[in-house]
Amino acid sequence: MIPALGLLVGVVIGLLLHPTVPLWLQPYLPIAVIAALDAVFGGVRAVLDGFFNDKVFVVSFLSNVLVAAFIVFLGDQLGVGSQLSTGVVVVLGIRIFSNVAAIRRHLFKA
Amino acid sequence: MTGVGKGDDVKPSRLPRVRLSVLRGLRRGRDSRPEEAARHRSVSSMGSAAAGAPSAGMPSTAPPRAVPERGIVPTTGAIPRQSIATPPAGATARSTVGEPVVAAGVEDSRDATWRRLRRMGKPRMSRSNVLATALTLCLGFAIATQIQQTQETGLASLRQDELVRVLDDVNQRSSRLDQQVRELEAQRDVLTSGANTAAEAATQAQKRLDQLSILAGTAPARGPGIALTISDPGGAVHGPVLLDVLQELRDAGAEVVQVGAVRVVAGSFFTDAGSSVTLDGQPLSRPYVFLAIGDPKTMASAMQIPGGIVDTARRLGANAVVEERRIVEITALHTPKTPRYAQPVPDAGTPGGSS
Repeated sequence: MIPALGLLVGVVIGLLLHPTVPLWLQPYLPIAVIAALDAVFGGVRAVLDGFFNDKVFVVSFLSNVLVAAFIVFLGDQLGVGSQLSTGVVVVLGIRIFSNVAAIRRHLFKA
Repeated sequence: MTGVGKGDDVKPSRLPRVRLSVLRGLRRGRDSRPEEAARHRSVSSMGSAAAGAPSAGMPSTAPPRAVPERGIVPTTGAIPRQSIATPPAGATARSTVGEPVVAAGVEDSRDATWRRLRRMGKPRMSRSNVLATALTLCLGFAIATQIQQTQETGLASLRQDELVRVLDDVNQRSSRLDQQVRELEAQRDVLTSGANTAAEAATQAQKRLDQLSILAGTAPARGPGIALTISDPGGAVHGPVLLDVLQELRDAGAEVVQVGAVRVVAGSFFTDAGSSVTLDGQPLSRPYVFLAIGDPKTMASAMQIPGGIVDTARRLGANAVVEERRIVEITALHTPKTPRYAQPVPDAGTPGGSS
């Protein structure tokens, strides 16, 4: 509950402060957001599965973000940044969908 | 029986769940199917008691107990302490209630799910929870930031082909607007020239109106001309003489003529009424004064030629005096009458020609 509130508070703060993304962060922020969303959905699913762990959540969150950013960085260095970004988004999207499906199955048995 | 029913329910979500934990590199306690069913029952039967809940998902340091035939990845197969400890309690609770286990399995798991959700919804101030909150706060912040960034960066974030497409769109729009401007300008020109034409037509019409007004005698006139005064003490001058005078004046180029106080127009006529003369029904008083606008010298010489008006008047015992004037003011007006019989013939080619 508190993390969910934190998400809302973060959105509100972002809307209020209206920050500017630094140039070096611009390629990585979208992918990092997607990866963090994947971690959040995985955490919600873990809650419903009954084995949620705060520490695991924190670690998975950070590692997801870092790995996603690293993949984008690597893709940029290799010259296939956009393709690799698309691949990362696709993979993370599939994971988010499967997590949401599991959550839905847990909550509604459907 | 219990294990089969529970396993059928859990099975679809088992493999992705395991994969998720593998991807995160977790070593997490997983129980076999009968044990999990038992744990679900135990949690549900114990209600939201916090005893078994928080540790249900904790990573266990127990050695992995592989259950390959159940389709579980061996590295994740660690059994939490709680799931081992609780089954007897759950079993006894279930047995005392004595409900059908298979039918209650689905309901129990659903209740357990919602209970877990509620339990996790309770605020807990642990270090990890605060950390998770900070992370999600960062995530929300990042989401809002990224959304605003995406909305703000208009052309800067576009690729080259997109920029070319945008440029094409802008060019097409520009050309369209240019054409629109040209059309509107042409329309404006037409309208303004039409207005000019209308103004010119109005000027022409005004000129024509002035001409016709002067001809019809409905407007006063001024200009160079002569004044012919015929003093007729003997009363020998009659209408035909005055008509001759008028004809001579017109022949000499008189444009506007006034006799006495009567304006001479196209329909004017002299009538002899006894010793006096009437013009258009109005009696003229002696001496007869002709005011004519035209070329003064021409008219004067036309009056004074041998056998002309002056000569005739002298022969009749009258005296005619011609006086050239630089300005002759003719103020007498003629009131036109609406013709009773003559009807104008409509002719589109000669506007205003009916009068």
